[in-house]
Amino acid sequence: MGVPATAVVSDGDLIARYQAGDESAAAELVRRHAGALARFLAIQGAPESELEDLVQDALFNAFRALGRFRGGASFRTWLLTIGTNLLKDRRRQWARRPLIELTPDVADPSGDPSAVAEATWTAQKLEEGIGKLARLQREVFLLRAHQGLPYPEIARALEISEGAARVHFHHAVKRLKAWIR
Amino acid sequence: MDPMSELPDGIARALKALDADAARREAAVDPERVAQRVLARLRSEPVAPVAFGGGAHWVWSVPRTLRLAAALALLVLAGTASLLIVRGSRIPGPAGAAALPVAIQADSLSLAQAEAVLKAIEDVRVVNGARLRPSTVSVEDLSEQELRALLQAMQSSEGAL
Repeated sequence: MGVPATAVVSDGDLIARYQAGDESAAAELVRRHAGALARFLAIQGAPESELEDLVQDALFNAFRALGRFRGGASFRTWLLTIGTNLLKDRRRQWARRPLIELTPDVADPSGDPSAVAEATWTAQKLEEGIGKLARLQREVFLLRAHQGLPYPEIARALEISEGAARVHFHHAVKRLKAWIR
Repeated sequence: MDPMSELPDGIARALKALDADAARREAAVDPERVAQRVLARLRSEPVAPVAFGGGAHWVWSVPRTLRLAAALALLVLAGTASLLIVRGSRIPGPAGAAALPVAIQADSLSLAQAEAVLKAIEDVRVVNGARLRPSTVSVEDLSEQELRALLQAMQSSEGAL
């Protein structure tokens, strides 16, 4: 008898199934996490035209490196850190070619032009500010503020102490506050 | 505790606005299409190198240091073998040495040291009962077990020297 259709299979079980040769388990992992990864990369300024390729490459790299996944952090958190590293790598390549600067397209339901302009400006400043943070500050800030992860999970994913994660977050917020003021 | 509550108002608002834009961009990514492409690549690139934070890095099935040490051991083996060939065949003068540059490096080994290294390599070659022809041996050909055995044998040899 198979698994009931309503049962939620954990990421860990899917990983084990994939490692045992079940390709459908890998496809399910991709379906689960591709969207979140795309959003996480987008908020870091990944260009829309490159986003799907980045997601694909990050997932491919993650599956290739599954042997090194120790399960200290969740699969998603681990995947997000792989994606972030890949984005950083791609930025270096993009820096060598002309790139059209994209401005965040922030919609405001109120339709007030000044509110839209202000929201766009602050979002743009924040995006710039995030890009200027030191690597650990940026990763901790995004995993905490955007993904809502607890500090212990962030610490395990980035292989730092929980205290260090808190300090990086504190410094990141301080720097961003000064940047968008 | 909601992480957003830890943020100053200005940053929280900006982050929400940025996230709304990120959500719009996320919608352009089709997870099903990504899944099919990832699976296709996993099928077609079973042992390809992967990129992490910079350049191409190989997927190591054993620790990198282990492989580096094994590579050094094989280099010593090659040098020692060349040395023995040079001495055994009595190739005269600098022409023979120039043709075998590794032999020059290994020339500093004493005969006892060279024999210990050769014995260590021989021990590894019979791991799992499978004897490897020296001409076919490379670091990438050795299994993890063989690499570990090689290092252990090298360490034992070091102790004996």
